[in-house]
Amino acid sequence: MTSLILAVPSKGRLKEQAETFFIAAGFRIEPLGGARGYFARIAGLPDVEVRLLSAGEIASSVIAGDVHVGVSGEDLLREQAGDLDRVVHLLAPLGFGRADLVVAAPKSWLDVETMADVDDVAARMESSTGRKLRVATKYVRSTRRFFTEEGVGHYRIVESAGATEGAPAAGVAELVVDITTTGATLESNGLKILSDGVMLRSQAQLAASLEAEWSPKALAAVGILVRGIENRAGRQSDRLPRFITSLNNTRA
Amino acid sequence: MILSTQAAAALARIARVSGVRAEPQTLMPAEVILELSGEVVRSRLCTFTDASGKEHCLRPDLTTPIAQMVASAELPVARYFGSGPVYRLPPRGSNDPVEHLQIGFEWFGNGGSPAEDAEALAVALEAAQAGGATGAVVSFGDVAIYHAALAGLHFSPQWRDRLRRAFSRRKGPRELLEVAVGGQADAADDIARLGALSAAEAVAGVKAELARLGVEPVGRSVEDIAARLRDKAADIAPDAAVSQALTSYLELSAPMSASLAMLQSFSREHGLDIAAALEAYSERMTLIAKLKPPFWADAVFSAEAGRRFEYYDGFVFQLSREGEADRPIVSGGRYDGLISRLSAGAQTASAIGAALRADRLGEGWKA
Repeated sequence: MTSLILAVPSKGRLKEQAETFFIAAGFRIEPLGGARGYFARIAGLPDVEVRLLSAGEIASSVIAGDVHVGVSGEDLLREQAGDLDRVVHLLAPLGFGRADLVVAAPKSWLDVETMADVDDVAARMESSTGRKLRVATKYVRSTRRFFTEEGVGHYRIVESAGATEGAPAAGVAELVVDITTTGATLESNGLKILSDGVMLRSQAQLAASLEAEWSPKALAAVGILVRGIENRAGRQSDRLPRFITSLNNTRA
Repeated sequence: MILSTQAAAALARIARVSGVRAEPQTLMPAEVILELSGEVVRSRLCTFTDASGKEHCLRPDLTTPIAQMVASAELPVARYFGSGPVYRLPPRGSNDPVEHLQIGFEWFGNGGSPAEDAEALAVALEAAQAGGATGAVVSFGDVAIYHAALAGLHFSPQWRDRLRRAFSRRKGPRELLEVAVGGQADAADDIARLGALSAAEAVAGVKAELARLGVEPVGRSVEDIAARLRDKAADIAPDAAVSQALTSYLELSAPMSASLAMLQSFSREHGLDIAAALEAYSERMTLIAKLKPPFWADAVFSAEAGRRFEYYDGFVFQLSREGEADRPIVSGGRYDGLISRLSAGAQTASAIGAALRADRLGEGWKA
């Protein structure tokens, strides 16, 4: 792959926001092969191939190096990679798709405000019932990492496929780890966010893969994209030069 | 599995004094390991899910499945040894194989004497020597002294529990105490006040507050929430001197021959009553010296030895090459509480064991 492969969201609000964002930065994404196609190009940039994928697929493709750069949420990128910074660089925050990944407990737990409280309650629960506290989430790895850093043990993860916020009321878990934008869904399900329970303030990122094969052409093309994005945001950063340095170190 | 000559020699040394050969299953319910060691081990566990959604895993060691058989009374409380493949996903960036051959023993139900500690250490080290290990160093410790120090220092019961749990965690006692001295975030004042009330008043207060919030109790009873609010109100943050004492205990380290004197002077300095734990330590050291195990002359005591192992609760030891403490050739120790935990209190048995990694025994000659 000599040209740059850029993956952008293929559906939903994220797709619209990404398209609007790229137009504002001077890049018009034009679908190839009809409106339902999975390939596109950017007007005026023949060295860029655009692939339309779901945000989750974009995260895994960037991590695996199947695409050079992709637009995906930092929450998905961090969840899918064991150690994201070793394989992916975040070249630019894009300012949309904002969501916080948070730990929430039932509002009825008046005694629980912090992660330290969670650990105490989990230990109590295990010694009195012999069962571990259950945490419902789609973000299994992120949860495990955060709970370890915060010194919480005595818990079990219940993998949730959807409607995570309903798990405590349904009796399948005590806590939830989920993304939220305003907190309203958690609130209306009788849950509160712990004071030190914000795991990640996430937004859409332009993420570049250290695992992909980079040609000079691809590097030049990503330089044009990053410059356009940075000009639009009105600020420069050294993220692209740092990425190129890492890339050279990886190859060496 | 065919053993190399060296591995067979190590196993033969162990078998001489270890009773019956145990042949635990390779597959076990993932539940058993996760309940024991928590979610942190999941990333190292080879798991899969069957059609009904039940999770299974390949055994990550021989200790747990053998202990599980004893806890469920499938095996009588006795001495066992074993060898066979065990499976652990390597951490990122490591070249360790997923499968390696483990040789080891688990001795149950001798009451847990210093004599048994000494014998277990000697057998494990002699087995390593028979297996060809060279140029390695023993590091050892005693988790029971940490527990005794915790009991002897002026911590609130809540803090004692926290610090006991933290010993095996990445966010350890030191990190917990750093935050504690800075002061902990507390619940809103009017909620915290509920904790100062009598048990009945606190329950009534919690009910009133839930009614005001318009929420039902979820996951825990009103009584449990009220009880913990009272528990929190009674909790006292550790003072700086006490925190410092525990932190300096964890930093203790000395050559084997100087370790007892160091521990004694530490306990005098802090006015600690840990005489019983030190007596057991002293007796164990005397008995080990009589057995003259290989590698022991250069052994190093470390108060932190055994940290990050969920189930060790007494004497702990490992043998590794210099600068490779995270790649032990032998690791072992006492885990008197495990059978009770695995059987939910139905069984108790003292226990000590050690495991040798066959793939690391001979690394010395390759280098």
